[in-house]
Amino acid sequence: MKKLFKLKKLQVMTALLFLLVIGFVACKKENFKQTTDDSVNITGYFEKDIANYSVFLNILKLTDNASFLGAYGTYTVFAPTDEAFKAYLTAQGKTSIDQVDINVLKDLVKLHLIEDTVSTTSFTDGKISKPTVSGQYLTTLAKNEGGVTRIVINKLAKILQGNIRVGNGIIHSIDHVLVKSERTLAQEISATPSLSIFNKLLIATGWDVKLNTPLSFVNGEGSYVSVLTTTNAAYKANDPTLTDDQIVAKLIAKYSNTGNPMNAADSLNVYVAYRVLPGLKYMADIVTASSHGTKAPLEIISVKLSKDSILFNEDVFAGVLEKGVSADRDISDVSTTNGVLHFVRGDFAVKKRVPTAVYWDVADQPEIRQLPGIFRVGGKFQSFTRGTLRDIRWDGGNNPVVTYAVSTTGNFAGAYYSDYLQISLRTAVAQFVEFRTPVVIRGRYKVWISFRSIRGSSNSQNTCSAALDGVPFSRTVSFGEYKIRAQGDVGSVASDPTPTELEAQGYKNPITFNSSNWNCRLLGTMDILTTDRHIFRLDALTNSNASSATIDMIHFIPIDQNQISPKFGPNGEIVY
Amino acid sequence: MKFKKIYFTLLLIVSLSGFSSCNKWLELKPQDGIVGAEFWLTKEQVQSAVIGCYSSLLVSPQGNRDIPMADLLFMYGELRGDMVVPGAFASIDEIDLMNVNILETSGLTNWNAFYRIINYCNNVIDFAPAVLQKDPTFTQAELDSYVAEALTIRSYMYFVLAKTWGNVPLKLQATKSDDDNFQIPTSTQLQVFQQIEKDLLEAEGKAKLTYNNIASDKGRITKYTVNAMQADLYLWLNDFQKANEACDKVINSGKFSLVPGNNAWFTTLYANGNSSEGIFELQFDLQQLNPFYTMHLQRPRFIGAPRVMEEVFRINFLDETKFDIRGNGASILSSDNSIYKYIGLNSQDRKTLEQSFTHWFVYRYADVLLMKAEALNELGDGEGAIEIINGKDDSDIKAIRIRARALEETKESFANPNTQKNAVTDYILKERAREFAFEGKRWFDVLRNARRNDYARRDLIIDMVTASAPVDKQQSIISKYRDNNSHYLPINFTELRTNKSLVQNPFYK
Repeated sequence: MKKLFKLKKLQVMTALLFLLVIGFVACKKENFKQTTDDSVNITGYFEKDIANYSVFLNILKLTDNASFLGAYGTYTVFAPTDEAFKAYLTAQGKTSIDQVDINVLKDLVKLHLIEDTVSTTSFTDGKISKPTVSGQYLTTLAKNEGGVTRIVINKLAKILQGNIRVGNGIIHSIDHVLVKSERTLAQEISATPSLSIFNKLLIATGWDVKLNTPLSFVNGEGSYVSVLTTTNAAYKANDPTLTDDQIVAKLIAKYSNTGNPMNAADSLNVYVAYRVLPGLKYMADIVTASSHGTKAPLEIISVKLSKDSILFNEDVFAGVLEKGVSADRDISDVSTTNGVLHFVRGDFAVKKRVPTAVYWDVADQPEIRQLPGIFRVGGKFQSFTRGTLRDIRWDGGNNPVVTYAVSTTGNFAGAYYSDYLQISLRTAVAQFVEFRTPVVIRGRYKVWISFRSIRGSSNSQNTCSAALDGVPFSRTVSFGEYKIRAQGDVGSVASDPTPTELEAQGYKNPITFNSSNWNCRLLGTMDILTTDRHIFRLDALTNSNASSATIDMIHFIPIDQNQISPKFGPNGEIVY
Repeated sequence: MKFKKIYFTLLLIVSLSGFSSCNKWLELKPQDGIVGAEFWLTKEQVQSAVIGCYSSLLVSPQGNRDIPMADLLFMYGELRGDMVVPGAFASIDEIDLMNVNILETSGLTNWNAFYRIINYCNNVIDFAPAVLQKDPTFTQAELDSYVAEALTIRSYMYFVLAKTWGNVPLKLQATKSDDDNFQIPTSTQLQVFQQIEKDLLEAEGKAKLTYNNIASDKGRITKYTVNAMQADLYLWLNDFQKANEACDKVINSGKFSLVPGNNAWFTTLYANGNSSEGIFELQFDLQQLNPFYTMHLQRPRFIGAPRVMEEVFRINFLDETKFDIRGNGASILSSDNSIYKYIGLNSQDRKTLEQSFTHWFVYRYADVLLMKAEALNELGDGEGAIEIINGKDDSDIKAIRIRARALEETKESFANPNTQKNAVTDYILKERAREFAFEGKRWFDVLRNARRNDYARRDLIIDMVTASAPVDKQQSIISKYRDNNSHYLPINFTELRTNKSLVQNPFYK
């Protein structure tokens, strides 16, 4: 009982103490923050800055976009300010956004919206890599006006404030409403007065219809094309007195060989097709590759950047520089519904070239040329790791290297310029190697590879399959194969096979140096379809412990030319 | 009853603790540092404060994750130039800076490292004079020397800030308490330069000529350091007469000479450092390694551009015995274009990580010579400028190119250099690119010459980026550089948020 009482007393006291404490604590309500993040979403940002974006916010509401731009997601919005909309409406002779058709507004929002976050740091001189919701791409470019540089969207709208990060994306504030391109390439060309001659050529060849076809998608890839046009001024540069029609007549007379330019095989048709590049290629895209395919069958157009001008078809052929034509970058990059339009300062056409032999010294690589202490200096060598040679790519296990070496004496001597490349082509090390060849003209070639024979233990050899642009050659190459020597029958006089006998078996002696260690094997006959630099690839098939494959040269010789001559000397001599 | 006792004891404890005062328990002084009142009493403390300024140039305080100063100096001077391209480990911020895409959120726009060092210097400048009264063994001459060192280091920091950001806030007093005004607006670049000019003049009068040991003469501020910095500053201020005079003070002292271009040249000048050519070098040593071993070798963030060998130093394909000693095996390794200057032991062997203490060269004698050439050319004496570079004849080893055994291919001669000012400027810039490859000077050299006479030589910048910009961004980058404000970095967004008096560079708005 006493115990119980004690307990009761304790309880009472505790309660009292508790009350006392409670009594002293003021009943102020704490304001706890209940959100983890107070950054606004896209719609919220416009609501906050209603002074600048009231019209755009209104459009978002009218088109039922306000709610989803206020919710979770990743978007980029190019938001025209109220000022921009004022100009947009004035240009259309309207006073309020309510007078604009709702479908136009829906399209307008789609053109200003990208379903990804794109900040200005990823902008190039060309298109934004993701299309807008409308399907059209936007272009970006920095432009300087009066000493102030701003990024310009679609060559029209300056970014006033970029990279405004909000909860669900990025807003770029712009000073013009972006306008969707409504014209096709053909319409754009015919509407451009300075292209009237080119337009007549399009009509003559039927390309005006082809360039007027609306965009279609096959497997997600759009049927975009990019057209390189030549202006009237360039056509008239040589005969300024002629009229447009006279020049067109002259061009038809010059090129049309079948008399029917509508025929796809007619040279005038090819002339036009050669200016149509498949794909949506803005100048910034064109300049990133050294050549582009065209709609002219198997013809490519080469691209070179010289300082800041883009030159088409400026190439070195057989040591002679052929002057190219330059692009007019300021007015190029015209977006249309089905492609992009460019302007070129001059006339150009498909070059007719006859196949010419290319005797390619694979050891002559631009990076190696920069090593004066090593390049073609006897006894020197240098290894290169993956990624350090721009025209050679290889991969495999054990960190394979390509070694450049020069031997003027010893049993590796005899190569062209005494230098060669070595790479351990076996399945355990370098599984493949890819070389970018020099320019080879379209045609039918026999392809030869010259190498120093190397064998591993028990005379094992490493064999590789070879391919050009992914097309395999008919023969493989075994880097352990020695030159075929005399095989005298018992009792007869031994004699080496003659060069023609060797050729019949697919071999030749590539060098002038007196060494039987170097061999040259025919890989096969190859139809090279485009005039371009190609990818020559060797794939290891075996795994012998032979030392690295030692390659000197690769010959591309047209099938109707002498395959045996010339031979190559250790000091760079070429002996016919 | 028993409970009552407990209750009483409890009450007693509570009331006791309530009465007891807090004087011993709650110590106001920090446990892990020294308060101002206990410092600045002896000359030794002044000295350690000054040395602290120097070591803060080498390394940030413990636990601080700022980018090291030498790393920043390299990036600000080289990334926007045309001699460096991103390596495999370059960060997005770094690539953005190279592509003129930098935003105010970039970590590379952080001022912390600069203003921390400025504050250290301000402390010395503000508090050291009072020590004169407290420590009778402290002399006026010693005090002057310390103040000169602090003034010069502060000037160097402001110089880099003003060259990199243009307009920056000037804070010239030590931060003493939270009541200090931290809302300082920016001063214009010119105002900052003028403050530096004033400070350097004061430092020139107070600085020592020598500390009687080589490491201190090259690693601490001497009068010659001040003169070299003055020459640099006057070139930015376009006061070429004064720049020339400042150069002459260094040249006529007779204390400096070019390291002969023999086999030991690289090791003497770079790998060991503190050579006869050194004027002010950041003294990395075995205890404090430089950040470059990781940066250029282990995880290369930057490598040399292909044009460094192809166009800057050039190659003699016919005769391998002819080469510019500053090129392959000194500035760069041409086999993989890695930047070699800070990790090489000699032209063949690399340093090990433990040896990676190659100094950062703030000023060296060759710099003074080429600054003099620039000043002379601007003063109309192009002939004098060319003589500094090409020499009187081919045996004039005091000339920059003769010492470096520069290739004939890169040599230029001028019929009448006194009237070919622009051509000579181009030549000086090319020679500076060779001489100071990867020494954090390239961008500033080009900018300094381009902006002269209201950007009369803007073409220098445009030509530079035309050659080095990524092809798909080239046009945008050229347009951006046509805006003068783009030549300076944006103010970091945290600075803008905390200091409302700052105004962002309009290019980045």
